[in-house]
Amino acid sequence: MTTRRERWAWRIGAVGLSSVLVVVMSAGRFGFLLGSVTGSTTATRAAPCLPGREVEIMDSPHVSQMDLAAVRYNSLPPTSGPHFAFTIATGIYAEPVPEGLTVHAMEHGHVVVQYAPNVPSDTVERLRHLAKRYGKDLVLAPYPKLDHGIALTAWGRIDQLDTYDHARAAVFVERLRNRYVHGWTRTEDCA
Amino acid sequence: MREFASDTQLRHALALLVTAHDGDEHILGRPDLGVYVAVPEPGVVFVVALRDGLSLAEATSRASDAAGEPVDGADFLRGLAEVGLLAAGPESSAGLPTAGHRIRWIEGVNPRAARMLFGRTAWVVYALFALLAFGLLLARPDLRPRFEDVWFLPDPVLSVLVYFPIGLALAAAHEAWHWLAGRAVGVPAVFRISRRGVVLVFETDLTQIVVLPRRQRYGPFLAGMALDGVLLAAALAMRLLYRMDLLVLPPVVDRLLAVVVLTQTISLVWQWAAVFLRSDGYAVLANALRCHNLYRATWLTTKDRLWRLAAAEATELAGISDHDRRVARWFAFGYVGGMAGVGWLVLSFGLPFLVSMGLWVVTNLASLGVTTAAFWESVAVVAILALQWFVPPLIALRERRLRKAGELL
Repeated sequence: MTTRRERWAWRIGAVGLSSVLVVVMSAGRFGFLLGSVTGSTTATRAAPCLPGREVEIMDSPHVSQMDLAAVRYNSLPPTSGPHFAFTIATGIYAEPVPEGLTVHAMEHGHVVVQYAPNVPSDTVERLRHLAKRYGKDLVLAPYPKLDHGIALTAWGRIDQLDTYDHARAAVFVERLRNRYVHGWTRTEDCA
Repeated sequence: MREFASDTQLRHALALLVTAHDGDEHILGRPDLGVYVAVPEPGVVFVVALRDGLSLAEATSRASDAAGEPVDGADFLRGLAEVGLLAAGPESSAGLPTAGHRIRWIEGVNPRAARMLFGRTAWVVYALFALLAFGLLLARPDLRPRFEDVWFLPDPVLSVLVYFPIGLALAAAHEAWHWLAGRAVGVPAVFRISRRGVVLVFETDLTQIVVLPRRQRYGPFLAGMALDGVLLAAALAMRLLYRMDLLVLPPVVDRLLAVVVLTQTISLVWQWAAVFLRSDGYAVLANALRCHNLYRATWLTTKDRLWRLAAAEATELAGISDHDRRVARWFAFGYVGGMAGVGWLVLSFGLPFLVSMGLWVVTNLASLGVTTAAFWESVAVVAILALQWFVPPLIALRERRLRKAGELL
């Protein structure tokens, strides 16, 4: 049987372990797990060296479907702002994905590539190859609000293409994936 | 034998006892009740003698010869009765708790057919699949599972509704492999819905496996994980071929395969992390460490270290073998570590998911009409959430009540 003194030592050890657990959960690369309940708020960060153009970052809380209907994003498609509490898995989608989900995907560091309904099927096929190449980083879906072309979006960043340019799209994905994951992941974008 | 209602009743209970050897120890058990104890060899000699029709005095004499010193047969019988080994047989046990719903059809599976799935060749194949899965996860980070894979449809509620039966099917397949492996070695299994901590699970009760030599127990214990490895490797390989344009799949199937990868990875990690919840990994380790009651020994050791034991618990711990108590002293670290890991999972993913999905469906139910599909999807999700989060506490309360009444070990 455990003595009184030993029991206190075990208790202190258990409390210490629990404290470490809470700290790990709240900080560093796991910090976003707690943030996943609420969404995020971050200041816009200028980075002229990055592909695409900068879009001012909106407050980005979690909202319901009904609340989202009243949201006016500052770009088409959106690159930040109110979104659903759920994200969308990366991959290829044949049907449009709600903006509340694509914004959340960008908040997790993913790039969202969306195309107008009138984009030719051979271009869509090339986009699918791009999506397979960057399988864990990219969401590909049609976007009925676009009247033409392709929109490449990441958190606070957008590039619009009238026709598909593989090199430009690939650079956009490689430079901007994981740049923001519930917070900026790099201290300097253009060093 | 005056302590028992009748000699016939005692003989009937003795006839239900099974005996098995386990190294230097011997096992006496009641498969119908799921109760097994380790006893010294003279104990088995004594029971076998009684079962052969000898009197108490004659059986005691035989046991004394085996022990090399006088033994108290009547006292040994009282001990067997106290641990429940001499309880009434099935025809009069209607009031006893059932260990689960026995799956009769599984006993109809031909053992020879079942053995084909668990022969030497089969285990080599399982090992190759496991290596393939491990290799792919190591070499292709883009194929590694992420929790967001579960949102594989553009409608989060629909993702949950479709994922739920997939998760159930994969869990059922895991348990089916335990059943079949048990059948292959001639051990019938009992299926039940139970809980592991706060998680609702399927469970295959293989307690009757203690009648087998320890070496033969690994197959049934590892069978579920073997199938998980096969399904994981197959899903990963299909996703890889799809990415390489060597396999044509609808994109939704690729995303569905990602869900399978996530589920099977969690299942495999769980089996080795959740040893404190008597996972498959616990069964393998307890068997390898030659323990009989490591679970209770570890729980009581941990409770003694951090809190204190009630008198009955202290007596129970003292009654567990020295070997099990010795192992429990260091096994408790894995036990507590597993608790911390599961706590982290629940707080990081389970609770945020519950809060987010709960708010989502409540908003849907409050604002959508009953004629919309989204309304009824939300109703279905509420039912699933209730099942997953509220049934385990109910099962825990039932187990606590049965344990207090001495009807559950």
